[in-house]
Amino acid sequence: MSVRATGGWRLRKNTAFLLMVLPGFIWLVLLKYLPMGGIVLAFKNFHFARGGFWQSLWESSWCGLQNFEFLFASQNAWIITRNTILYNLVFIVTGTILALAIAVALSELLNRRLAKLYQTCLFFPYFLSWVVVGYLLLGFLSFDKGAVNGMLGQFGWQPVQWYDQPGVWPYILSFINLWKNAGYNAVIYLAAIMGIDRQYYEAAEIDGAGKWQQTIYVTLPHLYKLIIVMVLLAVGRIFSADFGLFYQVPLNSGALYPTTDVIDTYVFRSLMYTGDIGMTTAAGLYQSVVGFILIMLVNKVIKKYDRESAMF
Amino acid sequence: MRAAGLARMLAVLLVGAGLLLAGGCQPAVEEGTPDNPYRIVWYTIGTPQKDLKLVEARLNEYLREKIGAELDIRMIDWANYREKMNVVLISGENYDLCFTASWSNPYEQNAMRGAFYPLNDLLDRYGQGIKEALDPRFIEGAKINGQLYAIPANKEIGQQVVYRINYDLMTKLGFSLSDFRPLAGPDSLRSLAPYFQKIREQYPGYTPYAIFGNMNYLMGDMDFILANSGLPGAVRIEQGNYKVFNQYEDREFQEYFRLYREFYEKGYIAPDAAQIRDDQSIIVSGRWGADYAGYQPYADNIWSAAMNMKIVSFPEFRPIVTKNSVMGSMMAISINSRRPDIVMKFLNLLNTDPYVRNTIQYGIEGIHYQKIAANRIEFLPGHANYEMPGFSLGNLFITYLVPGDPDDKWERFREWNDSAVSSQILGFHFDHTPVTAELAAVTSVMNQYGPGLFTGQSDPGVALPKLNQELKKAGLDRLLAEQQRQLDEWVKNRRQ
Amino acid sequence: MFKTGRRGVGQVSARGNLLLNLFLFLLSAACVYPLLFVLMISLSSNESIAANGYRLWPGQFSFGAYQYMFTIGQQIITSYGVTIVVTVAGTVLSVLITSLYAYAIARDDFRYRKFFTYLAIIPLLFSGGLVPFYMVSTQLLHFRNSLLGLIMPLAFNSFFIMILRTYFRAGNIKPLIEAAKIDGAGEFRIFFRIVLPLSLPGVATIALFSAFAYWGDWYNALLFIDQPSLTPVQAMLMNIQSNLQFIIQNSTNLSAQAFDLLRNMPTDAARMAVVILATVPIILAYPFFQRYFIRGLTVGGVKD
Repeated sequence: MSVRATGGWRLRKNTAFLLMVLPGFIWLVLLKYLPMGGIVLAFKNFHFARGGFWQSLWESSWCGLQNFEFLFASQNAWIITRNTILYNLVFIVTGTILALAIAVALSELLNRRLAKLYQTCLFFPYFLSWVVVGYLLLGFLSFDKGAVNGMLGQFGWQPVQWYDQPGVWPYILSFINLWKNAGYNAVIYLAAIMGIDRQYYEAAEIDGAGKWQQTIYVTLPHLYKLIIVMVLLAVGRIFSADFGLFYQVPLNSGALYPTTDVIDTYVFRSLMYTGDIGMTTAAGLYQSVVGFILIMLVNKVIKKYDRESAMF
Repeated sequence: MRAAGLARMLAVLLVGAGLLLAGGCQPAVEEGTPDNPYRIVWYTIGTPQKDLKLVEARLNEYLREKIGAELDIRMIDWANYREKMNVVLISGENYDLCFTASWSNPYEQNAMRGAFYPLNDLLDRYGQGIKEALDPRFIEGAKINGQLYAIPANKEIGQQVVYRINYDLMTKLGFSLSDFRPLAGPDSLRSLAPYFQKIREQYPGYTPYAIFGNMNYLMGDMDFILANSGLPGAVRIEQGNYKVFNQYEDREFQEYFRLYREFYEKGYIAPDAAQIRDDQSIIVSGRWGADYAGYQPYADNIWSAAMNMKIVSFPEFRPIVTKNSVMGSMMAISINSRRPDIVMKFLNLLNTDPYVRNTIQYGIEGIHYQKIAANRIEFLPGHANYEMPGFSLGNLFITYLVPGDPDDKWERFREWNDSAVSSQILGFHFDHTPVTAELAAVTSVMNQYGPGLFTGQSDPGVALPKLNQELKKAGLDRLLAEQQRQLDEWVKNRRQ
Repeated sequence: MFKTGRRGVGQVSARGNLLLNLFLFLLSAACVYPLLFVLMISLSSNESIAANGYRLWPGQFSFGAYQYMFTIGQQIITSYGVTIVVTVAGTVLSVLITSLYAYAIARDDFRYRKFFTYLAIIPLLFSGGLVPFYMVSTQLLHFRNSLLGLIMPLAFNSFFIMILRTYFRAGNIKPLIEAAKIDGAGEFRIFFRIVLPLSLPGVATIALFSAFAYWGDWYNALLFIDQPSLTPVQAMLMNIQSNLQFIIQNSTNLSAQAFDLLRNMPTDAARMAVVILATVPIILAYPFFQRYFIRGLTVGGVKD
């Protein structure tokens, strides 16, 4: 009797949980999983047929991996892959560190009103579109009207055509990425810090830990799992790049491609004329598959050392 | 057990969704009568207008009686049209009619992939008026392998690049239009140099030659296989010489880049020209000397009114009829349209019936405009709620004249069209599917080097050899060979 | 200013506080400066932009850009209305769906949590692309010219799910849940009465991000909306900007008539005015969310 009661309770509990995920489940099926059928396009030579999309898809001929060829046809294939991965690695490391630093600093600030003010300000760049960021940057770096060259001129130096100098752009783009996203990511960590029980800090203080030690031994361990989730999610996107950052901000300057061209910008430029849906899909699939493999590998490594923290 | 239940739940959801997707095909009923009109869904380009539904309703009263049809017009804003239509077309959405052109919702690519309904038979049966109204070169130029897939709008048929001059600045500096050499290709551009030099000396803050990193302006004595995309593949206009070549290796074409470089180094072109996307602020402020644009009769009037300053222009080359120019504005019927016959009847009206054509463009008499002569109107305040881009809506030659238009506007258009020379490859359309990967790589290389060359920011002595070398690596030879093969075949078929 | 009287356990020293202030001040300045720059450009005259480029202090002030924006008049008010309705309704909906889902997969005793976790993560990596999504949205769900088309696509977000799941797991909520279970409370009751209030900082973060996402969204409007009366403000302003570029870049293709359209097109100043009009309202709404971060703080400290 008591066993049956427990069983019934468990069933009811799972029903409750199933009900909780139901809205999200329906959403996922309709807006994400149903459309995934479109991935087939990557292997098809798309041709229209009377009767709509599925009919067209059905009648289009298979073309194997032909749609993927253009990704590797260019001699720049290596450069764009390298750029994409390196930028993402730098972004993950610097972005995480700065966001954590901001979050900790905001949480420790004595004056709450100032903290709120800073927090608001740090969000401003998030609202500026990449197009606008590109224009503003041109305002600084313009050859004849830019503030930077104006300053150089005051020191008696020659003006520089910044959009001709591939060497400086990795720094510029890394900086802009930090500037744009740090405020956003900091909020995620800040909210987690807010959830830490103050008792841990009290205990640490009683043990004689200074503020710095409290951050290292109390705050960071509590954020550890969140950091892992954030990094893992970023790893899944390591083969994809923020298109706006790499296309709009360097203003698509050809001379800068050696250091600014990434997979997404290359795909966009290449397909500008043909607009081929099969090749677009193929590029996306390629990025997804690599991302998927990487995320699984990293997750596995984490699991090996710390079962609890792995994402799945 | 529970896992099975879960799987069942999933299955039911998926099947249900699939059924809903498959649904939507209604049984056919008698359609196309005044009582049960056929609804023509029409996608067109332009900023959506507030009074669109009002005008649509007025027009539908007429169309129901006349051809048993109703319009459902959907306007998509300029910059979004290409992307949105790509989605609409591929997803197989039910629509009947859409705007297509070489530069948005691209006609060639879509027609070749089968997105549009073939029109030859329909045109013969229901589109006689169109055939009479249009310059035949429009239809011949738009045919792909002998089959027409869209009706071009009757308007200026050729393309002609002109140099536009800021008139006030020109006269202030003691120049007149006769100081420049028209119709001389690169020499026309060169003839502007003394004027630019004067601007540089007397108005140092001005931009003498206001251009930016665009690749589709150069004409010369050639027509381009891939239209105005700036991609390699060109043929001479009228020599009976069908040799396809890479224009970036052509001496005359290269001459432009040397000129640009010279102008750039002398400070006639803004140092950031390759980086900026538009120069509206400079143009509106009047601090510029000259730029270039595509011409049509009386274009100077339009430009002067639009920029609020006097503009004059002189041509760089004769007007040429190319496939790019005949594909400037067209309307295509969807391959999925249930009643293409009715849609064609509507297109026929649009190109021949002044009431339909003018209502769609200018709205309702008494609300949006009033007539002041048989063929001339004035705008009423309501016009602000209904401003349509006329050139995208069919035959221009039956539209009313508006304030600022000279009386002989459409006669001048006809004369100008008659004077335009046809490219010898007018009507040839390249199917890029055999070389898609090469074309992608070549496009990418062109985008890398193009803006720098076209603004003089790159030294052509260095950049051109580099560009051509990279193009070769990207598969240029295969691309050109395929272009040549298809062109030869087209020439052979045409001779037969 | 420094409430040293209340300086309790775990607070930084005055010197540390000063350093933190310096750090955050510099960062904030770097973030405020560009927006200030945008504001000043929007107030510059065309002549001074053409002559000097962008300047923090324009040679010549002009309100022309804003006057231009208000010639659109009625439309801008309508569009703000659409955006506000979508943002509020969408944020509430998405917080509800997201937090319920995240909570269920955060609970160790949910039998299928693994399955539903995978189910949420896979779309972060794989996407069927735009066309099938558009097809499902218009043909199956009828999002065309409907506010649902603006609300539903952003109502669920796998990234938010993973963050929120982490918050729920990390929080010191577990003992309270156990206690409530012993009291016989149902799972929904536990969620709404205990978990949600205790997780306010996390939920507020997701709400904030959702609101920002809805506010800034123009893409779904591009896909689903072609009626001016349903166009949100970002899409409307975005169109004004992109049309200008499009028309100028295609001016040889478009035939001279297209220049008529340029008459109504904005210049650099107007482009920046657009940024100001699109950004300032949501920045003003930000402090509203910050209240919840602070409240979260006091909830965390309840046991002091």
